[in-house]
Amino acid sequence: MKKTLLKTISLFFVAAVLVLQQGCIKDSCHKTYTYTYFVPVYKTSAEVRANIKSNAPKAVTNPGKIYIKGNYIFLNEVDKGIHVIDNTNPAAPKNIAFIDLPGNVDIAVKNDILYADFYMDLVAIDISNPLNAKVVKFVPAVFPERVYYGFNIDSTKVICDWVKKTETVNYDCENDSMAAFSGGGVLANAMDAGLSKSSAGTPVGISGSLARFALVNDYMYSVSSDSLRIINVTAAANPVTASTMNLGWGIETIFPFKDKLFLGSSSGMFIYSMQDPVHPVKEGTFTHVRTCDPVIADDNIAYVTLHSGSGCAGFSNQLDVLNITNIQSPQLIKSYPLTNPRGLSKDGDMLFVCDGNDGLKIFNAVDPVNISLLQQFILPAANDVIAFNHIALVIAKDGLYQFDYTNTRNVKLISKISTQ
Amino acid sequence: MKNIILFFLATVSFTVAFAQQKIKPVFNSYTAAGIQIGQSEPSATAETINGIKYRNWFAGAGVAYSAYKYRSLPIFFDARYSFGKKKQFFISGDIGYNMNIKTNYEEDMFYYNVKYKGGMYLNSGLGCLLQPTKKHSFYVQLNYGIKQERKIAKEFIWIDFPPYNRSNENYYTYKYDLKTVEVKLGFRF
Repeated sequence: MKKTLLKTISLFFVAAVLVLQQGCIKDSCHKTYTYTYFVPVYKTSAEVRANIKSNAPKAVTNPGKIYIKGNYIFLNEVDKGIHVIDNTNPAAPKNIAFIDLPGNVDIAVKNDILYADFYMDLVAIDISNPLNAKVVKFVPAVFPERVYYGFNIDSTKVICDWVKKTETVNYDCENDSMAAFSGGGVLANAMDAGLSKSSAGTPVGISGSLARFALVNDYMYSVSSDSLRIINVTAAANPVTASTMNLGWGIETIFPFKDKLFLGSSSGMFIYSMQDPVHPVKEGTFTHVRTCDPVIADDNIAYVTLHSGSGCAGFSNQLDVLNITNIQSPQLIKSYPLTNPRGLSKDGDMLFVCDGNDGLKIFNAVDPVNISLLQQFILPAANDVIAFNHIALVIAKDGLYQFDYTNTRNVKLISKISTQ
Repeated sequence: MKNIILFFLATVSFTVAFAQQKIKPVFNSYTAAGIQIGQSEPSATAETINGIKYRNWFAGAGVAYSAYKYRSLPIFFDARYSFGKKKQFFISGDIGYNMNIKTNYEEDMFYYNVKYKGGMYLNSGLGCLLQPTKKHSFYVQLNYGIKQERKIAKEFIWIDFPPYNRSNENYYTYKYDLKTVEVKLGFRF
């Protein structure tokens, strides 16, 4: 009986080996890669320049940075232009015009002149009549980092749009060369905006905390990822590059307060003195883990939000409150954990923080050691906020919101311009 | 593949036909464990099948555990036919759904969102009862199986080139047909 048993088991193993040798057990794997890419649409430079003016209003689709000047909101449509919104009545804002400006992501306003990037160039636009905005000057090659290598086919053509295309590639998993092509991946929406505050009656407007442009007196400061450019705007309609400073790497935002510039970088916050406005001098540094970090400040306190994701390294998501009484040595007072904080703004004791998909959070910041949540509005991908004159403008994925915080205990949504 | 399906359908038909002849069926349970060998790392497998036996025929339902490449729980119908002098040999066929039970693998660390889905499960084999009695016996079995897996993996890559501020959805879809030979030792009662 034992022999029979052994024979049977041996027979099965022999059969198994035979099957294995026939190659019947080769796994098959079929791989499909669906990817999206963008194809540039070109126009002639002359055609594009001729169209940089107030045109018919367009729907907001991909809102970028916001800027307030007087009764107007200038809302960047990323890489396409600027929406002009009459905000005389914040409860009923009117989208009145669109300035076509391909390659635009940053804006700032002094007097009646709006400064905007136009890919590498700086353009000054007269907005004394926002319904009839017109170019007064082009300053070429101010932002050399904005050149789109590989896309600028010649100097007479300008990219004015991108067409999204989707393709699917099929192949066997063994032929995995497509994996190396996966760089054409996802870009998180990095809608930007920031805050440098001044009253509506002063020559310059108000930007959000994610801004890369800052206007201080007769100079406009512009940061790229590694440099600070100072542009003389003494004659508002005639901007002239005054100087350029190398800052290192990872600069993200700029916030002016009094005679100081607060630069947010992926590795920390830098404070520069503007006593010599053409040659700012670094006075203080606060280093944090590598991540994205807009910054705002008042007399003694700086507020820095750190967030992860979307090209930001690190995993920190928090609000850092810093004591900057001693500019040379900022000290961390306290960190507050948040979900995915972005832009922020402060008015009086109220601190407004855009916390990603947790929306807008409004804090009582009278005591930096004990900042407490007053109210929260859930908004999709809240990105930046400007709180000024009892109105908080918030950019979220689905539009531009305005909140009335006249009653600090009962902040109310008063209007929204939705994206389409 | 087609043959296995035809075999299964034929088995079910026979079982139904015999059931209509008022012949008393007998409950049988097959429980086995073994090894799966394929292109990937060999791995363990186990199964239990319960059903009705009539003369040379058996039909039942089973559930298995398969750790081959991706862990899964195949749930299936089983039919088998016994032959030989002592009816000690049998052939079997399974058809069912391969249910995925694990969704996080190290190989997916570079994707930001991965979803696994199951697929069809097919298995056929040849078995032999060892020292069979009417009530119970051990058995060995040699099977050939195919289980299907689907993986959809999205990637999130920050790229710092134009056009900025756009969101893409890139994703990979993997369709696996994982083929194995199984050697199992089981107990029938």
